[in-house]
Amino acid sequence: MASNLTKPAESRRFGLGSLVRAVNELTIIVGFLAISIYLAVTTPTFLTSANILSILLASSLIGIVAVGETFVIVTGGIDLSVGSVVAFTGVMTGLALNAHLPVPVAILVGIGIGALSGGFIAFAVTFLNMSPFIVSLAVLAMARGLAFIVTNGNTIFSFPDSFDNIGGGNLGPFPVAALITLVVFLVAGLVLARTVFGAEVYAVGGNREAARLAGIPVNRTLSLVYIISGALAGLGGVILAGRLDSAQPIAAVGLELNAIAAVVIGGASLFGGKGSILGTLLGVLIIGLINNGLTLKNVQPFWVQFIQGAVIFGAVLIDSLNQKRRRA
Amino acid sequence: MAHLLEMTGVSKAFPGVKALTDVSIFLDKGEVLGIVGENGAGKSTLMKIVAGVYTPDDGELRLEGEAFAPRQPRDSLDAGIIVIHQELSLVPDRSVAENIFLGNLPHDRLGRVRRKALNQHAKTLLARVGLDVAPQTRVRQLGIAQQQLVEIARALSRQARVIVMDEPTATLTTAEQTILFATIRALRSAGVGLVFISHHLEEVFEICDRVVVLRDGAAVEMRPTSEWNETGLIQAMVNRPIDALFPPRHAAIGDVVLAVEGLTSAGHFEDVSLELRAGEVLGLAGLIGAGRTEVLKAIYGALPISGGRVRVQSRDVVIRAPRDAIAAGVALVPEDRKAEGLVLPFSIRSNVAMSTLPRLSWLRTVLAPGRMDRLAEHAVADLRIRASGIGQTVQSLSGGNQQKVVIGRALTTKPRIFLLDEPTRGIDVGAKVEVYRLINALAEQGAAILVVSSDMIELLGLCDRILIMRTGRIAGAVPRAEFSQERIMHFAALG
Repeated sequence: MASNLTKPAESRRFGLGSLVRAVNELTIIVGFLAISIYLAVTTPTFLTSANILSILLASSLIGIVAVGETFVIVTGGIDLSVGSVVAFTGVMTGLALNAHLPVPVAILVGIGIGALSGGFIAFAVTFLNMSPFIVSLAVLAMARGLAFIVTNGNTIFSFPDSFDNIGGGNLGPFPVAALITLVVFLVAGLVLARTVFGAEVYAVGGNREAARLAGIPVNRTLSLVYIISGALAGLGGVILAGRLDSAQPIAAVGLELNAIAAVVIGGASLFGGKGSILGTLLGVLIIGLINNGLTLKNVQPFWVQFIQGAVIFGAVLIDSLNQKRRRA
Repeated sequence: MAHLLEMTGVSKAFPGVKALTDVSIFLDKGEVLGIVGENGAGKSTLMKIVAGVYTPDDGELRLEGEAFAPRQPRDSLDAGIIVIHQELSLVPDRSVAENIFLGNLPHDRLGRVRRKALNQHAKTLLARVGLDVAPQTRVRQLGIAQQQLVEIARALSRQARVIVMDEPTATLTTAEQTILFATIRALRSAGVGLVFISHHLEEVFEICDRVVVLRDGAAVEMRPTSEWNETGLIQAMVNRPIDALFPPRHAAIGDVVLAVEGLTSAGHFEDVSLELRAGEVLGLAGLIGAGRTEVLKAIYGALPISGGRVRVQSRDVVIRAPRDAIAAGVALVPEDRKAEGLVLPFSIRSNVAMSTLPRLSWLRTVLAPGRMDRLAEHAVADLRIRASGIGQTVQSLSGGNQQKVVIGRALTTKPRIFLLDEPTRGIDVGAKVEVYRLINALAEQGAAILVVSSDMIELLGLCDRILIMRTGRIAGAVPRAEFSQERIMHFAALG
């Protein structure tokens, strides 16, 4: 199903539309290479293994969260809560560890709380018919608030080494976090492209009413995507806490913007029905490169925010021009 | 004297398709030009060129003798060429008056909308199209037919020189159509040139002065209406003789398979009871807004019910969602195939497979692409869907072929009861006949069919029995032996 989505029905006039389409499909990879080459040539540190590892580590958090966001966005929804949920599940995992719960249990606490938070959004979106944008915005604030409440605003630290390995350790030459991310991408890629559930996600995003009348369990599908998004944010919280050996209520502020940008850069449409995990992977790597390049080039942190915003704007602009062309 | 609008040698190709080849037609002031042809014959492309949506590859347009080359829809609008599309383009949550003057609202020097003038002007235009609603009414509250009249009022507000109507009567009731035709005649007398695209040939004969037949992208014949007859027109369109529009019926009528008792959906319809037998084609007639579509949706579980019950094959079934209906052997072909039937940017394959995904998978979980392909190939072959392959997106198919995809998907669930809502709306004569044959074939295999249609000829030709709905209730029933259009309209309009 996914492969058909990227193929245009027919090319029409050679205007902005076809230009945009070409940009969308080819230039993700070209852009990725161009930024890499530019950074390799202009900075001495870009091609060092330490730097590449740090890109992969930073990308793994965005990546895991962006995978969940991909499911949500393909249904035509959005989950703004993920950054706050990462922080909240991180501190809850930390509290569980400090209460001497076994490491696997603490990890499940983090992922489980993330899933619950996604379940809350799912309930509001399906049963209460609320807009996912507003609901997840509310959860963004609530989860962040809870993270401060349960920690009293303090950082939680000194976790067992076996836990810290998840975020910061290595398995052979590879960071454990990057390996977990890889597994998440592989599984999600298969689920979205090759399973009944994946096909239902596309159908619900493509035309919810048609999907409902065709007998697809629309509410179940919508619920699952928000639960997946929440659970993966929980996993992200666990990994971040492990990497930093601490959990802060202020962590991952604005992470949702990076994740959404990665998904949209990867070719998903905010109108639903279109997108892929492979695209999101490329989007995550591009976001990782841009963030890394801004640091290496010593760009002021204030500009970093601005540029990230501009990248999102550009990606959404392309999406919406594509949509217009599709309707024409 | 120069023609009002003249096209000479117009050609347009899309990758892989020659949409129009060397088309030359003209339109004069104060006449109604009918354009007929099967779907895919090039009518839409032709109209989009006139509307400035497409630029022709070859050929030229002249407007009152002067070269006219619209590069965008704005150019055509400014030249007084108004196209009223099948898909309406109204803003549902604004008032009728605001919609009529959208983009052209009367305002004072500070930019404040002059409400009084707005509503006053709107009222005049609404009277001209015969729509009796207050200008302040929200468009959302209107039926599709009424919305169409608002669109026509909007065209009138723009000093139209040429008005193109694409299937304007597809959703209109007879009474509304009479009003529309009166409007068209008034515009013609006022010197406007009108282009009337329709699949309803009776209407073409009634309203048009000249008729052009498009076939495979070429204008094959253009003659005054008086020189055409219905058979000749259909033959020119499909290039083969059509013995009869409706195939003879041979289905044996069996036991009751669907019994609806006192079904009520608050705000939509009340106390609807009906029995449908195996092999039977039961029509549901009535005006737009009578509640026919809602009855089908309620049976199908797509609209909540507040009372009554549904029995399928003498068993009580609880249908809360379309999924339950499908499991009980009920299929729905919805009224609006683009909004409710299809995922337009997806392939034929994805659309056909949508209702049976678990069956097309290993362990009901992992999709089996081979099974999906076979299912879609079968649908394309069985229903003779004209497409480059099962990977073609349904948005690029003609209306008739899109409808076949919807029907093809309905068939994949192996239903015994079919609920068909306007199954031939907006599709060409050839495809219509195919749908009619299919309905007959299904009935002969013992399926039970409940069909809603606003095309009275269609209901009379297809059905064994017709129920008539009026304002949310069943107003009467007419068996085949007593079929007549007058009888049914009497029930529908007057009771």
